[in-house]
Amino acid sequence: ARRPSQSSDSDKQVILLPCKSPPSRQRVQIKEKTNLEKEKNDL
Amino acid sequence: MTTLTRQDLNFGKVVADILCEFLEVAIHLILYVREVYPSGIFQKRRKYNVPVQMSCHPDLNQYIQDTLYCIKPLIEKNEAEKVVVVIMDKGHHPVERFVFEISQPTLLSISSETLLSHVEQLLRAFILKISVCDAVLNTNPPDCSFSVLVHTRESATRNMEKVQVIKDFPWIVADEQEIHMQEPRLIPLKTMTSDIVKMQLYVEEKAQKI
Repeated sequence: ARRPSQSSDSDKQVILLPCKSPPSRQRVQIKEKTNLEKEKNDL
Repeated sequence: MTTLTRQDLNFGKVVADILCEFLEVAIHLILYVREVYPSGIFQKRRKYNVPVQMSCHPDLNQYIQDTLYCIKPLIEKNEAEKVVVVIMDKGHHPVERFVFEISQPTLLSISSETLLSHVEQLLRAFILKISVCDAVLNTNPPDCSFSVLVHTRESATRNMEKVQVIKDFPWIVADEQEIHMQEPRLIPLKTMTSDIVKMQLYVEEKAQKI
């Protein structure tokens, strides 16, 4: 069965992506280190 | 067996709920298995009765949730043809693409196979395949990032506009650089056929990653 979205040939396929980027590996790593240090200090 | 249209029992919403829940688990697992983020931010959880790794980093979790929140209306209306998790190198060139090709029947036949436990069983197999896919893929270069693409139709983008505004999470049309991959290797991972949804997952891998 054809999808409703394919009902017209003029209805072109589009590929979308979020304008925002996910947090970078570096940013996540820094936060991870900070959390580990905080845990150590708490102990 | 009973045959229903998509409007009956609001099946579109049910399918979208099931698929978005699954995609959330799958995205977390792909990011873990392909080492996009350090393993320290992941925690073992149990989903679909199998152990999976899920991020416990709030910003990353929020990003994945916002992404899926915007995709959901497309899946609900059967307007998302593919959801793709793209892993990119430092220069933002794609090195791997995990392609979830989704197809939903316009008429739904309700049978014992529609039981959610059966669908869960099929989705579990996808999760298991993702968790071992590193065995068939080459190592990625360091400092990779990721993006989620959705293949839809021009007419369907109207359905996204409202949710984009609510979430303050705008979407744009992908550039050639974000899509193009030279001579990718195709690795089929899993296919499922159920009464409510058909889905296949394959990986497109760049021949020369480094």
